Amino acid sequence: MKHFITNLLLCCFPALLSAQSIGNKITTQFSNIELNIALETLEDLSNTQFYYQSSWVDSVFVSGDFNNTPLNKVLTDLFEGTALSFFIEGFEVIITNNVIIDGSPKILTSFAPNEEISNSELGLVFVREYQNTNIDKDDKENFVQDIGSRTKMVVGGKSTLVGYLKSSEKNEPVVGGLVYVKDPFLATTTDENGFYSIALPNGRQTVFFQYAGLKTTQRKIVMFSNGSLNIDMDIDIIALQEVVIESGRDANIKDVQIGVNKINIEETKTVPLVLGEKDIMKIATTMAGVQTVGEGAAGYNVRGGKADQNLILVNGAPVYNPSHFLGFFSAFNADAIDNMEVYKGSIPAKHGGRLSSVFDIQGKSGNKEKISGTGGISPVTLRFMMEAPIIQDSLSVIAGVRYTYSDWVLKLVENANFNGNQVDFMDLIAQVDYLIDDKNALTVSGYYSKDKFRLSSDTLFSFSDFSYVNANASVKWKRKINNNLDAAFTALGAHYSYEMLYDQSPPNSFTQDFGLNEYTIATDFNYYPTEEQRINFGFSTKNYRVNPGSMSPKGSESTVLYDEVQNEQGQESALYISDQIEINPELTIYGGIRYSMFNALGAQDVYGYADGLPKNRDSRIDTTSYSKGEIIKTYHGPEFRVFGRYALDVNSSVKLSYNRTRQYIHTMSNSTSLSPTDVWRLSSAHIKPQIADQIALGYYRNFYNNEWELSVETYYKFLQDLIDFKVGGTFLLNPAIETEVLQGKGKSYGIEFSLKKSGRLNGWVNYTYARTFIQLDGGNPEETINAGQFYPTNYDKPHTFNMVANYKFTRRLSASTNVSFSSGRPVTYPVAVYDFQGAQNLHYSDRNAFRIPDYFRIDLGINLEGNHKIKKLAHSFWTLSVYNLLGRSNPYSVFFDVENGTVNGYQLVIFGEPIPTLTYNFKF
Amino acid sequence: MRNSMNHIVLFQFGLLSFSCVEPYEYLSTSYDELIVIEGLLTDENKNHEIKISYTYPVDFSSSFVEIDNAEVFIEEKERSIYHFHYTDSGKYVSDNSFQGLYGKEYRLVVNTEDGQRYQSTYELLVPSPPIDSIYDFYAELPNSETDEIEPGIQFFISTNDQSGIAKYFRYELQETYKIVVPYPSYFEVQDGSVVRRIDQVGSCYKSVKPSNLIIGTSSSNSENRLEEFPLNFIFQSSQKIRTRYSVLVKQYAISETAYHYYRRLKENNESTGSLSDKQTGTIVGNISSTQGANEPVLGYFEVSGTSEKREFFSFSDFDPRFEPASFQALCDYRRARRFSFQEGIEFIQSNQGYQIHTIEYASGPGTSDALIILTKSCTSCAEYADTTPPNYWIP
Repeated sequence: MKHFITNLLLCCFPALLSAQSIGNKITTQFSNIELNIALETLEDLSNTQFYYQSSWVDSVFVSGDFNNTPLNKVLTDLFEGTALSFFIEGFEVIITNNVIIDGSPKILTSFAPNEEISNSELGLVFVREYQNTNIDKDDKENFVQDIGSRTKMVVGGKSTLVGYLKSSEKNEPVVGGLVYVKDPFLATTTDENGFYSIALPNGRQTVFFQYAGLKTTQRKIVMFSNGSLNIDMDIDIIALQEVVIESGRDANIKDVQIGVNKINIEETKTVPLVLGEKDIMKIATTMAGVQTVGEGAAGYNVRGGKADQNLILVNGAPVYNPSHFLGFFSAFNADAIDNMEVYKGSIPAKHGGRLSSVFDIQGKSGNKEKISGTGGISPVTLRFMMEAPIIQDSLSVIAGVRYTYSDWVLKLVENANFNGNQVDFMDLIAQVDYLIDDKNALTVSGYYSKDKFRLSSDTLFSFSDFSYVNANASVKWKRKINNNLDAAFTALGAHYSYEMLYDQSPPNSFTQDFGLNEYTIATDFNYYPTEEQRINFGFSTKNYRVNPGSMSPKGSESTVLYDEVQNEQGQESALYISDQIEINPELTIYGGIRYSMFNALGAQDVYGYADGLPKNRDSRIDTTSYSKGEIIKTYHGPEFRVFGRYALDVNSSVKLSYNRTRQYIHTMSNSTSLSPTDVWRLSSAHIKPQIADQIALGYYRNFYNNEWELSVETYYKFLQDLIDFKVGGTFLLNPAIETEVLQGKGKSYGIEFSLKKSGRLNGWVNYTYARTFIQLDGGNPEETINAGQFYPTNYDKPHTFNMVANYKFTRRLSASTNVSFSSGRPVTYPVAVYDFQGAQNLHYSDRNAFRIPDYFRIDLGINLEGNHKIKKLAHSFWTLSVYNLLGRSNPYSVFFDVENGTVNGYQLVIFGEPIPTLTYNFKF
Repeated sequence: MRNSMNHIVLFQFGLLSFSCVEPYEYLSTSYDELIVIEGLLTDENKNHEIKISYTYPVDFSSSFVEIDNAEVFIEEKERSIYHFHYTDSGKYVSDNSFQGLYGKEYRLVVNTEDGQRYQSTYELLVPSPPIDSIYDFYAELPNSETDEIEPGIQFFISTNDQSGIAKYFRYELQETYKIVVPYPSYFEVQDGSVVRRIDQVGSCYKSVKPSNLIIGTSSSNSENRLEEFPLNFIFQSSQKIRTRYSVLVKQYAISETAYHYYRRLKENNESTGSLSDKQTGTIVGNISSTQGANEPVLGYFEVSGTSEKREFFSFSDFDPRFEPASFQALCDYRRARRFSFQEGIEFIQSNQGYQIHTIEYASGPGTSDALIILTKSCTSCAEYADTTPPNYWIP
């Protein structure tokens, strides 16, 4: 019988060991020494850790002479004649005692793909016996559980383990948690409900559960057949300070999607702060493929996309202006945010409506067990977030607020004509979660942000007061219809508006506004026909109402004429279905189609223009009136979303994707970056939808036990009807924007290299080479730019390098740095001077033929946490950040004038000197 | 929270930084040589002028190039043709004096020697309503030269066109201001002796023509008025409004297209550096080449009715908060030179930059008459401008 075991061990284990114990060949000699001493020696020699109870091994003496012998052989020899057995898991060797009853090694049956054991042995038990060695049932991590029914076990087969992950403190689902076994390496992540499903080989497994900010935990199980395992994860107090890149560690190679940046809010803690504010959007710009045109600029350019091509969602509802105070801060209170996913490559069929990306921000769910809160004070804002259970374990509420209490920022940008002025902004985010029962959950969430600033300008005729509001609210009902099907029903509304007030001259005082509302109803279903397949389908329709602008007299003395541009209405609907299939462990593919349709609706008067002439006032020939609700123009088309992943081995994979997106709402701007007075307008009889096709290819590889993560992605995008503008176009109160808009082809391509590292020294480095061009060839000088050739867009920055690094000195002290380099963005230089009306004038041509100097900045941050006593009333930490440590003058823009017979160039520098800030945060 | 409040004071340290505008060294190697046509036809009966030139490089490596042999004429729609001939500096002047008529449409045609034909669209001439009033207002605005908020006077205009035809305007200003030197010269040296001056040199009148483009519209006004329209702002440190100031405002009633052309031109020329700068580019007007459809033609052919108004302002008329600037030259009476007559005459004869302000007569025993001599910049306004008042000047 012993002989049999030996053979079995030999035939079974090499397969297991080969992956992880390569090189663990032992050369040593034992002559009748105590087993525990022998094991210690082996630990050293094999660089592994042995686990056993010392009581099992005392008074056991062993002998043996080993020459370049594998560890398992050594142990088998040593344990011969004892009641001990063992199994090797990675660099851990677990020694068990007396598990072999009836002379049959049941522990091994589950590992045995080779059918050497007769079926009669299947019914025999080892688990119970194994439990004897782990009497402490509270030791969940080591207590061995059986999953499913032993009688249904198929030896060598696979079974599915499902369950929910939730955090024990808050009783909330853990979204995006990682579930994996090490050997063979299999992993999955939890969905938005904390649900996971993973197919595992039958037999003994140690399953690991991992999530940023929570303690990684493990469960030892024996898979007999399909079964479930729910896990409560504890808060990791120490992890408070970690930059947890681990959250997506294996996801890098396992996820089927390409070009996804996942940002956990924990990461924002250790990246140096920008002007004292934690800013999840600023973190996004340190990732490959996400850029801004300069510091303080509103809007993000994703893979050569325009700033209006990003769908920014907070709990599923769109936010049209994601910035506070122009673009200096993002409009989201980091304390109330859980995570953000940025889709820049393959966008799931569920999402649509913007060409370049989806920024999917998930707010935190309220703590369902106890009241807690966080807050902080920075030089700019005070912020506070509180969460509380209303009904224990079922109904919770969370709300966060942030408010400016100083005009510190204004002082920093003193010379940018903001002096003597004031800036106020605030944002509010709230969410109510109601777990009705096992099958139904209701989430109500809301978001509100408001900015108000008073800017005096050096001319009397500029607006002096400006305010804008973003607001949205959504209700989402999630229902689990059966084990294979769940559904979500959403109703939401979103609003964005701004108002300008000019009151410096009573007869000319006016207010001018812009407003946009959208109302959406959506259903979304997930159907899991098999473990390997997920079908997602649904329908959504949204109604847009746009007030493109109206101007009203202000005050009794005002003689300003009321003026408005007709309201626009549109209906955007989409039907989508996608299927993600895991064909085999190596290959997963996703195929989706989204069919979107847009109807521009009346009431509206639409101008007609003579064919073959540039659209302008002179070529206008007629006007067609449409009645309320009448369809003016319909645009529709399929959007294919196809992507796949092929695992080359355990640590690497390649992915490929093709993606089409269509966009029916556009910002109208005649400036080189987003301006607060830009207006959103719908596609119409004259404004065609923008369409983008993207092909992306990626290679992903993890090194050193997933501590290093490498990805290389390359993409090519082709865009149709990309929107640009005639020089000097105006969009405010313009009833015929088509006379200012130009539409043409665009192309973008690039390659992104990213490397992430976790551990004591952690962070990420990326380099991107990316280009983006547009072609505007209208066949006449008025509608042609740069002779109809492709030319670089305003946001074309070929080289970008980012590094974010954090080093933990102690648990309480860490330092971080952020290095950012990018090529200067294109600008238009004057190419001639001419005399006209007694003055010298500059003639500009060759749009974007030159570039401003390169951008380079280093930031530094130091985080100091209060002590970690769990009983302490509140945890606190301090952050000292220095923005632009080198004080480099990075030009934001350059401009020219001609004075006294010379053409002078000027550059505008926003933050030309180091800016230190100190921020205090607390948590209770 | 309690804890945090104690530390606010810490946050205020080291706030050294601010955005700024710095000179920018650039190297523009491109040069776009294009034709520039500037035409203006008004309702004034005179010899009208058309200017034709080429652009020149931004480094001024070659200067103004004129076109002197083109055929130039203005065509009234389906009516007469007015021919122009070349004079100098790219200027073409109409052979006869004539005036544009209200309600008529005109276009400009230029045929160059190399066979190129440039023509404008037809432009309608509309009358310009009279200017109601020009008035002043005290204001404080940031001065870009000193980066400080500085008081000054804002001049406004109001126009009221009951006909409602003219809605878009361009303005040209001619500013004239009186300069008064602190110590006028009352005596001069003639033939080796001191004599009382016949001419006055204590004040003079300087005229300037600001070159900035001023455009306005009443299109957003309910009563078709241009009310409280800001013309120009003069900082109190300026010499212009130190004593007496006159402004002649000439109003051109332009078309909507012309207005937008000038607006774009202004945006191109006057960018100031902001977070969202306007996109600059080629500004094409109403003139195009009939052969090369893609050749941009710079400049504009403006057809406009005109009206004008002059107004006078004295510094004492301004808001009491307004404090006139000190005189442009440093003139301190205590530093004036005192000479006896003989010495004084010799000094004046050998120092051209000096003049006699006045004679200080002997005030008692032991004193004698003395000549008070100061630099010409303090005594003679002829140093600055013409001492004869212009014929329109109202003291």
